[in-house]
Amino acid sequence: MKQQQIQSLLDKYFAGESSLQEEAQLRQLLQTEPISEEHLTYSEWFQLLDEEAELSLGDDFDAKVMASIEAYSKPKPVIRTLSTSWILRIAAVFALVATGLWWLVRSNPVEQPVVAEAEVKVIDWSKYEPKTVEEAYKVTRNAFRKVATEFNEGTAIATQGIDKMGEMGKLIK
Amino acid sequence: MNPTDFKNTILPYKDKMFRLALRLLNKREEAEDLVQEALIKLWQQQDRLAEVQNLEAWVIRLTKNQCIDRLRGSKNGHKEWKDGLDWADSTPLPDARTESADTMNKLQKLMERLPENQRLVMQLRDVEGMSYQEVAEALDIPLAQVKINLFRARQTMKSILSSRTPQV
Amino acid sequence: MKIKHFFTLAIIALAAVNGLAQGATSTTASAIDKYFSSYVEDKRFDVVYISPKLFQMIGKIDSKILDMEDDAEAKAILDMAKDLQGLRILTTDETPEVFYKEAKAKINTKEYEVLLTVRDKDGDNVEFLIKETNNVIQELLLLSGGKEEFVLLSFMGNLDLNKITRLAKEIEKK
Repeated sequence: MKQQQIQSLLDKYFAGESSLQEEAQLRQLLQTEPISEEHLTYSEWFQLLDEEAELSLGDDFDAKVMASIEAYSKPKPVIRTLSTSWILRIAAVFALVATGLWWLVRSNPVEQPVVAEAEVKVIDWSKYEPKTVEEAYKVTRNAFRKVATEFNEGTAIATQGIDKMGEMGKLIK
Repeated sequence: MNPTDFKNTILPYKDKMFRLALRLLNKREEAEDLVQEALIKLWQQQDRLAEVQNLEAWVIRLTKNQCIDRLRGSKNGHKEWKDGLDWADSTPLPDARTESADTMNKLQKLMERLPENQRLVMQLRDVEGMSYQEVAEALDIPLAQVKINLFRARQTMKSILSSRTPQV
Repeated sequence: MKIKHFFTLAIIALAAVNGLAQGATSTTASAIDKYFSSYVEDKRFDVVYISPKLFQMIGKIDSKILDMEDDAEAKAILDMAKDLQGLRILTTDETPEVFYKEAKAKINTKEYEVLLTVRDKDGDNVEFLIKETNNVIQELLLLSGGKEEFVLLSFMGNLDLNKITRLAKEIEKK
């Protein structure tokens, strides 16, 4: 009787159809009932899983982490002001670049290049669309992340650009 | 949040994080190291923790992402942006990264044969005993994907287990 | 308090640019199409396209379902996505440096202006280019090439630099 029950629970388990309750029941049965030869390897599998769930980090780990956290929490306000000022600096440089560009474009309109439309093959873009909205979102998110990450990396360069602000100012006037 | 709050709310996840990291990285010291880093990162992000509805899922996801970054050899997830582009990709981990076989435990050796995405699902379900919904949230994948990955992982395990004699 | 001055200036300038960008959005065939058309069918490239329709759909889904990991970031992204008319991505792992040079040579510098050039910590060269018509940003191109990959991202539509800065800030927090 019990052996049959074990077998049917195992079948469900490997078919990915068992509920958490059934899985718990299966583990229970494999621990308490006599195990037939054919079920031995599976019983061992669940034992391994149970053992794995017991793996843990020692108390010295806690102490180590808490020490680093306390260390981090002290200089934190300093880090904050620093990073805010950096963001402001980037913003400032971008503002300048943007204003500069705006002025340049305004005072000196870009010639609209004549695009040889005929040379452009018509691309069926729909082929390259993600199949679901979730995927589309992920792709978009990743693309924005890429843009933003590179933006952040541009910080150093942007900051150097501050020195050039004076020149920019002259341009605007 | 003060350090005491952190110790009471976030730190208790450390073992779960460690087991997950170990599953992916296959090296104890590296996993321990990673968990420490991840916890510090969580501490630094504490102002955002207030908005988080499912703390456990957040913690697991951060740990997983840190592991993946480390495996891909990228700093700060720099190359991670392409994730969505190769969503079908489920290549197993590069072998060079894994520990020599004799220092790994049996479960590690068995699970190592699974592709990353299946291994993650199996870890959370079969080791941590999480529901499909919880696994889906923690890994940021659809529920149906959880079931598929788990099914495949268990099928593979079944064939490995049934072909070997017990007590190896 | 230099910083304060910068900040005020930044707000004013961005507001000005913003105001200009609020104008018309048109989706004229981009000259970059020509560039894309030569590589789209090339097996060495990964191509992804997000249509305006998909952006609309993205805007409608609940941000919590998508990405509870990161509410602030998801919000910033959805906010940017709703202004977009399309996103095209072209990437390859093969001879990235060659393709980077080629793309730089092919992109019409009369039409696209360089916004920012970065050499990032991985040694990749990155260039941001924008296309404006009547002072409205119509397209932002990100061109990146290094040892490992070549990437061309083309965001079409009304792109707000202010929002990018905000997103960059969100990501910097990580």
